[in-house]
Amino acid sequence: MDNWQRDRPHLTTQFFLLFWGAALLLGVLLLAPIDAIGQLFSSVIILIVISLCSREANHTQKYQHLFRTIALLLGVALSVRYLLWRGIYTLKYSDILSFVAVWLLFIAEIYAGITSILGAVVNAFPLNRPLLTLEGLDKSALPTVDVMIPSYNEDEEMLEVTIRAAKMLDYPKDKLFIHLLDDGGTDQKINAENPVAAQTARKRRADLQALCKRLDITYHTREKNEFAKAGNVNSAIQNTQGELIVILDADHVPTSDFLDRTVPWMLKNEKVFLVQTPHFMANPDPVERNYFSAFTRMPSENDMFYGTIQKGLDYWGSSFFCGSAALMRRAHLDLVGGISGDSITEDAETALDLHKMGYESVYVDRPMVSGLAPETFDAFIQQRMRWAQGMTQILLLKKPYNAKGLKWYQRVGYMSSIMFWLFPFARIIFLLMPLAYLVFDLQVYHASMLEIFAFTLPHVIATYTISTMLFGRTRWPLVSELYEILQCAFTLNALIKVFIKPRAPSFVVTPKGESLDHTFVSPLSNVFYWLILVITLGLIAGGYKYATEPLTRELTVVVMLWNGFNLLLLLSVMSVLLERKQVRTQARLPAANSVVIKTHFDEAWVGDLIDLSLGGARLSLKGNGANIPDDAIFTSWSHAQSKNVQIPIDVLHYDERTNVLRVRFEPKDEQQTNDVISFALCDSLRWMSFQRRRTRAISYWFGVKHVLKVGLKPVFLHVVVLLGKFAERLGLYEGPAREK
Amino acid sequence: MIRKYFTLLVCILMPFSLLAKTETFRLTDFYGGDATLRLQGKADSVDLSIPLSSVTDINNAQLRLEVVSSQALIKKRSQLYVRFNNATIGQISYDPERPSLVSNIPIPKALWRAGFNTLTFSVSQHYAEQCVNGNAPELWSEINIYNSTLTLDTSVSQTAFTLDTLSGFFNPGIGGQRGVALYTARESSDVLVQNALPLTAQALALRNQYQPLSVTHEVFDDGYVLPDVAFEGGEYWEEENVRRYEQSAWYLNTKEKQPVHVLIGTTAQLAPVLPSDIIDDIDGAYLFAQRTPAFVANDRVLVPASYRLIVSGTTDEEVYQATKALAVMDDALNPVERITVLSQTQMEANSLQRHRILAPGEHYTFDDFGAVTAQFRNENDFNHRVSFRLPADFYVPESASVKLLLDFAYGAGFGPGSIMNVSVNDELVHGLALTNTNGQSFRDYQLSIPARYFKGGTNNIDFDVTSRAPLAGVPCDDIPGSHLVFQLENTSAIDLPTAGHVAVQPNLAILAEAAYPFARFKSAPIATVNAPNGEFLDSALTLIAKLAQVAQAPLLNVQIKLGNAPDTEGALIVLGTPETLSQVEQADFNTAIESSKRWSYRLQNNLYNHVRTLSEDLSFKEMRIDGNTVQQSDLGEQAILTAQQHPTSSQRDTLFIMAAQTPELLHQRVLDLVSLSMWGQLGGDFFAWKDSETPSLVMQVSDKFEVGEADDMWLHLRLWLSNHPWYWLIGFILLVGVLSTMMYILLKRRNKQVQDSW
Repeated sequence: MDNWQRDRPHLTTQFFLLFWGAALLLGVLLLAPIDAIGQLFSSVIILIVISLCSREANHTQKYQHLFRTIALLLGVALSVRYLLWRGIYTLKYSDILSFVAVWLLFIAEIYAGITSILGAVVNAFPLNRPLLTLEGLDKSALPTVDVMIPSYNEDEEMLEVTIRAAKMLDYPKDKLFIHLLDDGGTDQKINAENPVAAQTARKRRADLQALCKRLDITYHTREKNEFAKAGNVNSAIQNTQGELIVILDADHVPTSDFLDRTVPWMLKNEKVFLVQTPHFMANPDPVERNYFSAFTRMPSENDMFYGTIQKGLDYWGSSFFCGSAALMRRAHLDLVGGISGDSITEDAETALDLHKMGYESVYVDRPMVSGLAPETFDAFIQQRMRWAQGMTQILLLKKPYNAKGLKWYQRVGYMSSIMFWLFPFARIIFLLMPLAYLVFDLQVYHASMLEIFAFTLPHVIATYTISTMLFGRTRWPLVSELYEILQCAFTLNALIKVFIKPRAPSFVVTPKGESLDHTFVSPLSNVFYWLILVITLGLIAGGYKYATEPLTRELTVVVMLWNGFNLLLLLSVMSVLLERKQVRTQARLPAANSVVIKTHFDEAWVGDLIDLSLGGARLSLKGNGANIPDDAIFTSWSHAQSKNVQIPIDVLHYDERTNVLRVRFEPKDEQQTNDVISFALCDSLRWMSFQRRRTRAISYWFGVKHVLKVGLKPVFLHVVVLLGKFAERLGLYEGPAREK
Repeated sequence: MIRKYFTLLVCILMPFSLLAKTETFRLTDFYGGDATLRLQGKADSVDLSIPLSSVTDINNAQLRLEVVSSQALIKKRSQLYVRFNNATIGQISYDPERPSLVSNIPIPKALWRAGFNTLTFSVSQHYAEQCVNGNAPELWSEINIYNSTLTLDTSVSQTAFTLDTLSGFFNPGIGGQRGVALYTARESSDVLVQNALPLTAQALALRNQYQPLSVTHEVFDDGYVLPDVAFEGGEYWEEENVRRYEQSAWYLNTKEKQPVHVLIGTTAQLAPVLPSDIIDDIDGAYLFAQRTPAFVANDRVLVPASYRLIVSGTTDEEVYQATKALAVMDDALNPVERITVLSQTQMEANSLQRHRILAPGEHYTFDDFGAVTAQFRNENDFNHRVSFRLPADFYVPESASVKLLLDFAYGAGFGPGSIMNVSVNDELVHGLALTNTNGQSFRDYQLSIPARYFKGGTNNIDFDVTSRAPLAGVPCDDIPGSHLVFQLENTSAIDLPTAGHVAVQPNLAILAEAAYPFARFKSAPIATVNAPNGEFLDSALTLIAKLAQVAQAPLLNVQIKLGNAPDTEGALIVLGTPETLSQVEQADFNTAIESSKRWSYRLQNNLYNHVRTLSEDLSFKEMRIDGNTVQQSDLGEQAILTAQQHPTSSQRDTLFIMAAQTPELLHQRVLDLVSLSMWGQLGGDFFAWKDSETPSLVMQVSDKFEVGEADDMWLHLRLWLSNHPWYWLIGFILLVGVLSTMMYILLKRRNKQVQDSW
């Protein structure tokens, strides 16, 4: 039985009566009518209280969570009051067109309000679990673990790194079984009608079989490619016996302590079916890379989900499986027939099925798997479309809001996660609705300026304040808007398809590990050019309206500001759409280990790492390193293996002015290769420190200033690149668009 | 014998000779704009409307104009034309050598007509013989209409007095009666004083429309004492003379100068003053318009001739029924001297008072409330005002809107600068350039106007149209604008939003605007004017008459109560002097007018003293009463009108106190208050004045409260919360605090349970 339910009888009936009585009264107060000037006065005071409480909630102190709860409830109440006011007083229209526009906008606002309220509930009390370890436990009593690495079309090198890291997991070797699940070399593939494809599949199967043999792990494939990744894993589950199952994507390299930190949660509670850990992305996604190279400076989208939301979901017993970097219990998976496959987000669906059966999930907030984010905007959109479609499939097919067996808060948790993915509907409406007024003269928002100041503005400010309080460290202001705008045009289309045919979408593997050898404008940019054009036209129409219709200038200015805000976001998006060159296949991440560079003549230089990748490192020497020979030995302490590793290196460059040395790792044997992998990728502490370094809060105005600053330059760059491309086509110029 | 005939002749002629008078009016009395009328451009024209009562003859009329003209205007071609009812009565040449001039122009008697007469000032102005730029700034002249006067020698034209001529005697035009005396028996019943007198005052005041009516109350004795008349031939008071004397209005107060007076009472009460044939004629609710002869003895008029209106019946109820008939009847339908009312229906106070008010939530065409189709021709600036009344307690949320569906058209050939602006209560809400050279016609041209532009009481929608001829494109060649035509149809309509009926009180502005809370829309609870004794009746009647004029309907619910105890329910006006007001418990009021006064002086408090209109209701502005000064003093020449929440009424209502140092002074101040110049300045809840020009002080000193329909709690709540947002805010934050704490306890508990499971 769930803890919550189990202990609920301790709370007195009077307590709940009082609670519901107060909630009812608050509801009545929210409905209570009041004129705009009185509401304005009240709203200002409430905003001040929200601001003070959220400030207190961000300080570590005894009543931190109390202040957080007050701020959340005030913010939610203000938003509910706004929506009630909108619904009761402002939905007026004069014709069918304005009726449609008015209701579309209101529905979008209701959607935004509901997601914001669900988000507030989910994130009210993020759960911070302690770090558990297997140390001190009887190793012989530990459960057997199958590590499954499903693969479809990933290259061998990538798989080798993941397999080697998996083999180095800190777990009794007799209880650890590594399996490569190859869906690219199935019987169906090698017997394909296309001879080239069949030949490729046969070669892939042979290569991977050889790899598995070399690395002493088990190779699995199957007859047909049914049910995509879920089918692949389920096929392997039938042929393995490990009590616990780890699923790792092909690019997901585990740190050595992965099982040490996750298995204890399985041992503590027999009802736990899932221990999920964050996906740490070792390379920037297109937004992070293209958007002023924000990867090392700005918290990523993953940071918000894994750093805040999953912890909130964990508190409510509804953290879910994210497809990889998770430990699962075979016995529970068997109950639901393995990984579920009704939707293309099999992970969340499987978690939902098991939550419905009363089993529990655990989220361990320590990055212990490093993966690759999609490199190109194209791949990024492909991935997001799959997530959006999959979550919508779950909504339509599994109906979590009404699912038997789920507790109310688990329903809230799932609905919060699912509802988020419907954002394209609302975002498109928010983008285009100003045009209804500026261009088509439709009165879509029937309110006076005073009412906008009294109801609308406080709601918007409260929403942003609450959002900053909840996600301030993991999400910068306006960045969510940026991500949503980037995706909305494409995912909207995908979502509509799901609503029409919920079972139609099929699993598409996200391309990863692509390298960008030149800077180019994303082929998906056209839709944004059109949007910018249309919104700019809206601004021009607004200017004309302002000049020619003096009686509605106030409203025109407000709508133009809204439209201008949209344009600003779209211009910022342009920066993401300019795919910048990225030659390095492995992203370098900051590191701070002490290292010693030794020569074969026992000379040594001491220094500190600056950054590190699987291929090499950059370090700052304590002394002059001009005399370091081209080949040397790199020595440092490996937390993953708890020993000093010695890796042969080639010196690439030395900067005498800064004493910065660039080296390339040159492992000579299997052990050294493992050392490089364990040193570079198997230290979870390094991932943690990297995350902490970039997760920091900034003020809202700094965020706005930042977007402004970043947003304008790319427009110019787009023009330059496009002109260059045009000139290149004409053969006039071998332009800057193709850097060699 | 000759003497007898002579006396008879004098008696016949007396009404006319007595009622002839000469009056001088400033032209500002007939014009709502500035005191200086500026006429600009090559040609300009302004109309003044001069109303004339239908019972008045103009014997002589003289117009005196003070004019100033630009020195740039050239002689001969620059002239001011004065027209009266479209006939030119004067032409004044502008002379640059003599820019200021005073001109006297007689207005021929034959040009006057009953109703509205149009006095037109039209100019033709030129600074050169040709190529005059019509927009040149030097093309101007001014008429100082404050100093310009109209002197009229008038007399009553009526020889027969029938009920249909009542509207002529009580008329807003020149010659209309501005005062009336109501005569009752000394010992009148309570019903008569309480209901019949105030309703009679209202009935007559309503005929006066906007012109104030001073109502006085007079009593007559049970019998008469024949005056001493020296007569050489023996005893003068032979039977014939006594009969003549009885037929005259011998009971008239000698001060009375107005032609028409009213006798009110039952047959028993009126028997001493009416001939028996009239008394015998009364057998129900009875109205009789009678001309009484003068009584002349020895060439001396002992009793002047008069017009008397008899309102009577055999019982008090019949008298009251007669006053009701007087209040609602269309005079034109009664070209007779007397009527006896047999029965009446639909005479509820509630339905009568809402008769001229548009109901919220309804759709009205302009025609429904009497607006006519307007057509503007030629090149000029035009204005068409559409007025209608909304309930005084018209209350809508901020987002409510009123829809105007306009039907209008303009003809071909409009030039640049032609526009139509629409204003609501002087707030510009829409503008349209008339740019289609082929003309355009609009049907249901929709304007959605925030309902906050509209207010309880009279609302005005102004259509300002500027018609300009197209440009000729050739220097010194203008296209005449005679072809220009603009038409606003009275099929245009207004859609009113549903509204609540709640008003913020105390508010003297809404009393002045719509007689609220004495006139309401949804109900008509009894409202009282309390007069401590008969000396205050004149003030009470005059005030009630004004309230009816403001409401534009008889207020059957308003009564007069004599006595000192203002413990009645409903809205209440207590009249008094400091001495009589000592009987009223004022301890809880912010100001108190007793033998000692308690004033909330502004320096002691955070008060504001500007007049606030409904459309600019600043009821949320901070107002704090912290201190007052109690002092021993007289009120001097001034009167005070205060308003606060009725302390004893079971329903929320407003108590008004109006005080002056003496009853006579109070009546004088009431006359000042109901004057056109002062009444519109009423505002705040503390109003002091001592003349009819400007108030001495207007302040807001009492706490706000809401008055409205008890069945609409939602609106009550809205208004209450809007006026007291603190209560909502405190409740909100408290509830959020309580809920947050409980949620925090629950969250902590769950967190502990999760942790315990580790």
